[in-house]
Amino acid sequence: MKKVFLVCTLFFLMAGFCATTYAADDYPTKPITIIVPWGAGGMSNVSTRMLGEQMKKILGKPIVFINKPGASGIIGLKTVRNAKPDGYTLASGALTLGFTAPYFLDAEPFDVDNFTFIGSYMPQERVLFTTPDKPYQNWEEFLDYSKEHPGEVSVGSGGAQWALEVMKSIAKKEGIDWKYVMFKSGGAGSSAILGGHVDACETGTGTPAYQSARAGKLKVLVDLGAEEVPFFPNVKNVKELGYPFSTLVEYGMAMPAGVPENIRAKLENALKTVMQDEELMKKMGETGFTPRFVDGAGFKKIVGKAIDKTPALQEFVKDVK
Amino acid sequence: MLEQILSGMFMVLSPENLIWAAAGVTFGMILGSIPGLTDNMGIVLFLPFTFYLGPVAGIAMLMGLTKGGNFGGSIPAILFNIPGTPQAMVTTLDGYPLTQQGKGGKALKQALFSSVVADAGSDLILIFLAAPVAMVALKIGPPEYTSIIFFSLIVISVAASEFPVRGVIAVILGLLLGTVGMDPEFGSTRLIFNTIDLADGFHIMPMVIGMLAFSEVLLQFEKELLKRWHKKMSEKKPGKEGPPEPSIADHHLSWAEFKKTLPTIFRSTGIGASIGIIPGIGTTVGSYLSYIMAKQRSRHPEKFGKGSLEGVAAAEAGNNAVNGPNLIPLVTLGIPGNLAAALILGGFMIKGLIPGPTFMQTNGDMLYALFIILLLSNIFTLLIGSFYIKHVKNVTAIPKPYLFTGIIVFSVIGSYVNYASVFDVFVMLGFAILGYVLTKFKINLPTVIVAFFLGPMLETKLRQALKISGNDATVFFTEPISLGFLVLTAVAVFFLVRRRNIPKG
Repeated sequence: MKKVFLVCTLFFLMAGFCATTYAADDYPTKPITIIVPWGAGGMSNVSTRMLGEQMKKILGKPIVFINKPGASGIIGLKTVRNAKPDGYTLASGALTLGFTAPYFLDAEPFDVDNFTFIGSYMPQERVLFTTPDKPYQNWEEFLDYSKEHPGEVSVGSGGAQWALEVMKSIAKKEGIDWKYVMFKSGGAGSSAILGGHVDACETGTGTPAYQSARAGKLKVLVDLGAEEVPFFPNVKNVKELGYPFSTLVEYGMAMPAGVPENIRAKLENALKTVMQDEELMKKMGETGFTPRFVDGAGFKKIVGKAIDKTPALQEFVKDVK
Repeated sequence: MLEQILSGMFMVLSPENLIWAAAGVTFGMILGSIPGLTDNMGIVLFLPFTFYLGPVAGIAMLMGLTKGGNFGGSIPAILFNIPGTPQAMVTTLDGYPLTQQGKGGKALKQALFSSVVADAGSDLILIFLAAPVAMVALKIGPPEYTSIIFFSLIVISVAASEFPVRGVIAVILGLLLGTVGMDPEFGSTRLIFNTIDLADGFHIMPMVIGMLAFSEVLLQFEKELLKRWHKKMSEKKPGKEGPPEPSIADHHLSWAEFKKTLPTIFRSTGIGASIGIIPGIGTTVGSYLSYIMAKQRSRHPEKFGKGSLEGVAAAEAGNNAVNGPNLIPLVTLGIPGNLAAALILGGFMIKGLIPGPTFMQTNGDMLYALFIILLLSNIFTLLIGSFYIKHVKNVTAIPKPYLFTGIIVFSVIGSYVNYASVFDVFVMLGFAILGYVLTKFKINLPTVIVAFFLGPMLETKLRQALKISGNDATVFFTEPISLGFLVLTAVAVFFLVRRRNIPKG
């Protein structure tokens, strides 16, 4: 009797084991859920859906998109971290922002090792704008003007605490006294600078302020990130200018830790293939996106770097008011 | 320009575009009329679908969803005292009393016609005044916002209730609830008691559903229990009447009746459209201020709150008129004025189109096509709405146990789906209990919700204004638009209080 039981158990174990490997080989066998940890109105949502709609053609199964906004992306990322690591639950969007949000919100930090990274699809630069009627029209003039008028110049942020703190680190290095104003989103920051309510304001690329700058209605002062601003080849970034900190916004896709490597590779490959679709890339480019593919290992490094840099930045600007 | 208008016309006249616009209106109306489901949710649901449609058809459908949803929300507001969407909150004040008097059909028709007239009017403002209005909207900076919100809050708190003290309590309670969540300046959390789900504060949907829909279920439940209990007690002495039975049904709205409300509709359209110019203030405030103004100007202010057609007209015209101007910052600058506009912006972007300063030059014909469809959609709203209310007004005949079970189900779904959050369902239940208690104290719930909604904006703008001015509070008096609204606040309070002190009758 005991033996029969043992054999049965073994049999079922084997069957179960076969079933899992089978599933991994055959992946995907059911719809995939992509959680966007931000609202339906933002860039994360639009870019994820544009890519996801094409990815599902390659994967051959439907993709369900869920917007799970909250706490600057923390809630959505936590949901994915705690999901079953079977490759059917993904997070997608400006993930570096979510991974660093705990430092700004004073919440429990994330660990990169709790995630499996599929790959990233675009960087986003944060750019400082001003209106053309100002006495300063480039970065050097802006710095000089700010030094000559301490406590008078207001700089705003379109909803990015990180970018605001990078500006504080610049102010500390240059010995400038700015007034920092926080706006709710890139849209709100855009209307603040277009209406001339602040002297300079930063937003991400792709926002109304960025589009206005492309139309010549705003001037670009500096790039707060460390890469290039599309359509503005002459704008310097803060890394080139020798400042210690820069923003690092990277859009990508991740899953909970423990997803089998062949599933991860399959998704990574799907993302890579989609990003070779010229028509889609052209469409994304027109929207103001800057798509480019980075593989899972590379994306993990980027996220790790972002997580490492943030506490140092916060420590550095602690005494800047 | 004429060329663009003509080619826009040709774009519109394809049946595909018209069908999808009409479909948007229909879906919006159905979603809006189910408490807990909103037109915004409809846009989220249908957004991926627009991928497969042409740009005009896709955007027309999304805009149709908001139009349909806006009217749809007033249906349960009138029939069950439960607003289908937050913006229909004020419609309950007079719509539900009319239903109790057996005039539900009349109220629905009044709501539909007021909505359509105001919506069409606000579309015309969008089409012909977009450029100048956008300039005005940009002039509204933090100090101006602060004064405008201050004005709205004061007027609403003084006018909302028979007793100003209760109005003030309602506003303070709403403001306090609005402080939970993220500090607007430092981005740190406050008052969240280590609950990360509260990091963005209470979400508005579960709050509205809990306070207005679910608490109404609790109240009806209590009423039913009491009735049964009384029945038991009074079995020995029959003849004691229960609540007044609905009087003779009157579902017809005559032209004479409608004509009387026209001035109210036009005035409310003006108020709603002005509110719509300022991004973010929103439909609920537009309808509330219109309602208060209509009550002030009415020859029968005593009927307000007891089933006044003018009240329904003001509330519905006031909220629908917000829509057109709300799209102005979107089409001129690419800045969404509200959540629906933000979602529609997503729709544009999926099509590879960027609304904004250059949109008129690069895609002028498409913009005009959308404008024409926007106007045509009002006709769809009118036709589909008439058909819909003809059938839907009979749902009051559904036995209450079934009806309220349905409302409970949709309340739970409605609070869950927006953020896919079980936590929000508990938030909804909590607010249901709060709403029940507050109703017992005769605290006006819509006032609490409006204050909750405006509170964080007031705080953000106040702090921004002070930050920019270097902590100099005189900025509110030196900026002309801001000063204007502060003076207006004083004048409004004076008239509202004086009116109250005149003996009635």
